[in-house]
Amino acid sequence: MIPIESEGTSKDGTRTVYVAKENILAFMKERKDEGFDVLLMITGIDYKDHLEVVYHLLSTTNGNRLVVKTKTDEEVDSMTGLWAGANWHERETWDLVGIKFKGHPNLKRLLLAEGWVGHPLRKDYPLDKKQFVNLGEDGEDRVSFDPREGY
Amino acid sequence: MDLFYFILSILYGILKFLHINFIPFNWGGYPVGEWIAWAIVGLVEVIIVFALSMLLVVILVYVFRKYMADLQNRIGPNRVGPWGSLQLIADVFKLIQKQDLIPSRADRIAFKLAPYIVFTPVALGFVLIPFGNISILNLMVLNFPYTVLFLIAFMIISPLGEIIGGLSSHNKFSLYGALRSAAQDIGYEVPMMISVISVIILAGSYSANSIVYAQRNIPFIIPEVLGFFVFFFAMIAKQSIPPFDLPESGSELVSGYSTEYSGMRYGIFYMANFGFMALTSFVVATLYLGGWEGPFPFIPGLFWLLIKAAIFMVIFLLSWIALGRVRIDQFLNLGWKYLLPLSIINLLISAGLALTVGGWF
Amino acid sequence: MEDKLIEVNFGPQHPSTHGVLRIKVRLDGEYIVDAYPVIGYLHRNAEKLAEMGYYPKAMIYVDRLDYVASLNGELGYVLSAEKLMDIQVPERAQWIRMMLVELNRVASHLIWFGTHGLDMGMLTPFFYCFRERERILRIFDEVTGSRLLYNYFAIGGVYSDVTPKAIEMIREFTGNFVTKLEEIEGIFKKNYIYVKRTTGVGKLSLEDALSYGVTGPMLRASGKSWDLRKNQPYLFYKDINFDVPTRPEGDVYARFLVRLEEMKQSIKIVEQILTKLPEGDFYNKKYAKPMLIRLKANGESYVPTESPKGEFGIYLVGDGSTMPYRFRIRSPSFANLSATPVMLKGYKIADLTATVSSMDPVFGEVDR
Repeated sequence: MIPIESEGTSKDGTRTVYVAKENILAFMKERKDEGFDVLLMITGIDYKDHLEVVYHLLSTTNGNRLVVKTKTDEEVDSMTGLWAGANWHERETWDLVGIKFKGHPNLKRLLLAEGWVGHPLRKDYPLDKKQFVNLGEDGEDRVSFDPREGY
Repeated sequence: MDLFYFILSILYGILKFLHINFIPFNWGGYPVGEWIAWAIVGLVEVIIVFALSMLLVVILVYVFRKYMADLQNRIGPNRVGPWGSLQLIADVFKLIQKQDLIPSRADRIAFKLAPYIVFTPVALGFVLIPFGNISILNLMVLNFPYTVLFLIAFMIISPLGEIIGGLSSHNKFSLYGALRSAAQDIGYEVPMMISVISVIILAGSYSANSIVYAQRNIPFIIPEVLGFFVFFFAMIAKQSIPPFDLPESGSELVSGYSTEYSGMRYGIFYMANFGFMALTSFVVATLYLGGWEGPFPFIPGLFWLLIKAAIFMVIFLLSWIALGRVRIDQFLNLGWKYLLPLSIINLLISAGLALTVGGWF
Repeated sequence: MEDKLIEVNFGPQHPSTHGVLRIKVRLDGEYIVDAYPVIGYLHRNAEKLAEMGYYPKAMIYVDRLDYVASLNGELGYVLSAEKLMDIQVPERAQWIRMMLVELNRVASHLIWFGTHGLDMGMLTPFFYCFRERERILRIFDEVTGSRLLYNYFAIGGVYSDVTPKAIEMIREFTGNFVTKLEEIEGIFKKNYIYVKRTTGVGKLSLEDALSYGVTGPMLRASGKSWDLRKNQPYLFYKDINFDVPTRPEGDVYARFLVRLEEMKQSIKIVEQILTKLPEGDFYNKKYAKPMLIRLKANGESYVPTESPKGEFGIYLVGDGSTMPYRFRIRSPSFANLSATPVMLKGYKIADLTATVSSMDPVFGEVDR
């Protein structure tokens, strides 16, 4: 039994637990064996002083829901080994929030082009700096701050 | 008496009337004047048939659009000309004005040649169709003993243009379209040819006109139901209209071999498509439904042929509008595993018929 | 072996990728060896945009997520926001919401139905489906004032009441829709070519479906009877009698049948709502329109709803200000689409279009 740091209820009545970053993979494995067979989504939240990763779990056998949270500064373990669907969610979280996932098979940007500077959902992301996506020679996207650059 | 000689004699008469002694013009012992006259007559005839077949294509496209719109709760073309009947003309003008785009790494010669390879045999095919007879006059431009062979040859050459166009476009979708077109041609030409051979056996002649005469008692669709079935399916496949539109499947291969074609080059493909549809309708009607033969002798044969061909055109259009696309493996299975054995059985049946009651036909 | 493979880009500009999906496919002849979906060509970062405005302002971004079923997206957002702020909603508003959401589900499935036909090479059903959808859009036009992006559900109710004329239109629609739908479905069901092409294609096993977080009709077509309207009812779905269609096969044809049946069930639901629609307010008077921008919230909430594509919900985190601190969209199409490689491996090119269209991805929602 992996210890949980604190527990609460969200406004919609779902049980919410905080788990230490080191224990998260083992904790989630336990939850999966318990019957939480769907990982609905992974959310990264930038709280300025720290980052938080939120996992929404669902059990389709008995309809239970669980929200698991963990605090991190940079990196957490990847859930791709437990739920295949975590792959894209983690790539998106890396893309937009900038949380790295240790053990992810293909941690590339998902929605933005490879080479984008910064992570837009960070609270300190500079909104006034425009970045331009151009088509490279090899058909992949190139990012630059200069609209004329590229293909 | 053929149309050819008919027009020749009219021309001769006109020249005689005008006191132009043109025909017996000899040069060094050779009847050059006669050759020139023949060439002029041939040219005039081909131009007439070509113009009429293009008119037919225009009508077919219009009917297709209106019919399709009617089945799909739409109005269809209704702006250009009365009831939108000049829409295709407007489209052709639009296509001519478009920029002539050729992919930079395409094989330019083959790319430019491909639409004509598709189109020319289709236009030529109409020359060989017996359109009927008025008293002793055969409405047929060319009447020589091997008409059917040439007809089939034209119908086989035409899809080669699709393969050439697909391969020369330097595009993966076009490449796949060309490969599918090749697989389709190989898979469906064999049963098609075998069923044509059974018709030839039964009629005892390679000439399209003789085949029509041979069906004056009973159309070949009755002794050769299987052959008709095989030939009809092969014709749908050859035209590559749904459900067999694999080479140009719009939703998979982005219109396949014609992906890179635009402007009038695409327009030629489009016209050839409908021309081919009209041609195949005439061929099926000629080979299996008795061509221009009809029950009442006072009605011209051309009328019967047009009615018979129209039936097939409507069936083709309906199949285009209503059916989905088959997958490549199902498609080739149908060709090799079902149509080929059926066509061979049909060949045996018609050979047996020809040996026993052949004279009756 | 390696050098024999051809790599083809299906999309982002391709007639049957339903928008801007790009699938890098490695092909061995006609067979798909490997498929790698690339998304993000319609990315607008709706989450960031929503975090930059007041709570009611986020509605326009939610509208543009699943743009063929905007009301379903709005429902997910308003339910979550109302939970977050403890706002009571009058009963009539909730019933109106249910009714319109079900109609919108039918409209969304009709779009899928028509485009699915296009992807299978059938032109004609598309027009029939759009003819029927047009009638739903006319109803929406009458009720909400717009045809595609409604911005109709508000925090605390709906923006305007359903008029008697609209009720009459809905009655007329539900009266003969099912017979018309059966006409259209005959084009598919009785078509040997279509049935042959879709059975056994794009198979997704139940384990894979759950592992990838696949929800909605796709999960039900894989053999799991899981519908949030039935299993975890929100609004008044518990007062309504309807079935959850389920198929065990997990192929394209099963998804086709499930969606088809779902449309009929939605009509059944709408018919019941019409008889039960209570009188009363259509919005909470305390939260009139000008008041809405002053709404403040603390805490977090996530209310799952059953959108036409699957489980849709918005995870809202408030920090006590008038703007959401974190606005996370759980989009069903995103999760469903991530299972693409499993469903494509080993099938043929023609099955790619069938499979992708059977997932019913909407790219406003996938890329957000």
